[in-house]
Amino acid sequence: MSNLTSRPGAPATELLRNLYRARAFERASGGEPEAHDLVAPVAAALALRGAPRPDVLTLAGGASGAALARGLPARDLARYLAADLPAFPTDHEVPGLGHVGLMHPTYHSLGLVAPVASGGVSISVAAGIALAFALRGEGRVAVAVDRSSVTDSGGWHEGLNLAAARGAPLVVLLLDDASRRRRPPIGRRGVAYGVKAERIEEGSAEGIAHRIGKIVAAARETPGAWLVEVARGTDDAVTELEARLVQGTVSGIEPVEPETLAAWAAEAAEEAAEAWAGITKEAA
Amino acid sequence: MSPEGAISDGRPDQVSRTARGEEVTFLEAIAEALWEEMEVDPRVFLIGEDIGAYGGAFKVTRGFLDRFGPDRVIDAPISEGGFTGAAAGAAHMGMRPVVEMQFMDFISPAYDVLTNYVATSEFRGAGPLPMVVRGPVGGGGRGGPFHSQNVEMAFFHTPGLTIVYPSTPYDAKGLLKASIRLDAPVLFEEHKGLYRAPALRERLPDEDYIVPIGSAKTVREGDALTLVTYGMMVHRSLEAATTLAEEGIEVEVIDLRTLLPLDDDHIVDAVRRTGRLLIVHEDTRTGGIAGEIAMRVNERAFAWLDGPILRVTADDTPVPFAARLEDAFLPSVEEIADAARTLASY
Repeated sequence: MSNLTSRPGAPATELLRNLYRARAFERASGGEPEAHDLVAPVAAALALRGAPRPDVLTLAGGASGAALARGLPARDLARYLAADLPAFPTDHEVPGLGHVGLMHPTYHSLGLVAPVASGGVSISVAAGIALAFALRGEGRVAVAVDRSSVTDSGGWHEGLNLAAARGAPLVVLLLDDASRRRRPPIGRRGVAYGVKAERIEEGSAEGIAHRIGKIVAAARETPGAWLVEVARGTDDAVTELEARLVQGTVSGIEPVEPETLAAWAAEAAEEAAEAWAGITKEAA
Repeated sequence: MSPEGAISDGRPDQVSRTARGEEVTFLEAIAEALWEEMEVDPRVFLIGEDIGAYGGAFKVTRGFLDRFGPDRVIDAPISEGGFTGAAAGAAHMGMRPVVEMQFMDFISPAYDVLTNYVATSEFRGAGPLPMVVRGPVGGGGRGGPFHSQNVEMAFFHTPGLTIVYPSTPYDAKGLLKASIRLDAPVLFEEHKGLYRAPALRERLPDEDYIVPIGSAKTVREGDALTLVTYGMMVHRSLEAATTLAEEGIEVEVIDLRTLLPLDDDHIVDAVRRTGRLLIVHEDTRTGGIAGEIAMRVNERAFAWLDGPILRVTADDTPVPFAARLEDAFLPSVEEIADAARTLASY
């Protein structure tokens, strides 16, 4: 199986190829992912790569795609989700104990920490991870990806409030799930917590990824929590990125042949099919 | 002796007594355990409400902020769920956090993170979470329903947690050190009625020691019946046993010390010797630990029983605030002795 993420490439091409992988993986497991759910988690995972020590990504939304982009082999991820492990591992670097399977993987050496379903708990855990980084002066960053509806929970407030009070290096990345619930704008909430806050309105996958990368870099340079909301994009995000790469309108990147894109998509589909081969999908 | 809280040789008074060869209270034993573990292990840090500048509601951590600084003695916002979750995150990254609940009654907002996240971590493949959640429990202090609870059974049926509940300064220090070093989450309950009880003062070893988790202890020998208990009730049970001995009834008293995992072997061996079992706990009756212990003895020692398994517990109500009601609510020495007499008569 090829390791797509290890190939050299400009961010936009790497982003697209990882989006292909995320989409193919979800489809192979029986899901039908929406592109706008994949962009920000994958972009966050890519933004954290290349750090001198593993930063941490806690994931509630788009977990599979981010895990793949972080370097978790597709086969391991599929086995994790399906609890298809041959033995009870004693090494905690092995993702999953195989008891029940889980929606979100923990793989410490890749900086992946799974959340749980209870809204808000993950932000508290991520705040503690960031606190540990700050306490040890490691210059690492914790990024927590969740949906914006989680901000309704008390646990979410407690986690962000604690991180803000301690100046912990935490980026809370919220995927705007466009629910009908009304909330104050993210900027106002950032002011209330005393953290840097912004909403990424840019609809293109490349634009979202670029901005997330900048924020993660800023969080690494200057400790303190960030609150970031990513506007709900469109399912055309992948299509648009494909078109721009073919047209050569992505800054700094030579035009990409349509045949190349097709080959990347095919590779991603092959990788996903191999990962899920022989695994009972009902278990996942 | 220097005044309470005074600094001598750079240490607060409450963590200096053992080094000076003096007796310590239950509270001082806990403070010594925390201090010593923080001295030797930079991964250990404290987080909780008012534990820094204020020194904690019961002053367990008085003077810690001066020695260890605000990064290791963290005054958290009032957010039990939030800072318990943060402790879990830090534990993921290799730290060994010790969370203080100002009163264990306030642990309920952290129930979600403890049961859904912390307790399941190792089972989910996310690795062990070495962290301690400690704090004062128990009635008798006129604290009413929100400052007097025993919380052990709210967590007892949660796989993945360890629950420790010491009754003496020696055990408190040794068990807390063992808990901090354990690669698993521990709930550590401290009966506030024991914190400064003069009768419990004792001289502790001036060298590092731990008390193994999961090990009950026979604190009084006897052949008439086995009395299993823990926490404050150890002392009331011993008082009852003294009275009963004058009547010719010799009661064996077992201090559980660790509630989860229960030391089944120790209990069963004792019951097989005496043939009678009385369980005493301060926690309320329904769903109390007596029910679980009785079932385990039924499974492993039924043929040895010469009488019914009895229990003395608090009533099934919130802890009352009014003094007369609280006294009636809590198990008394007389109630324990009466139950023992009944059981011994079989």
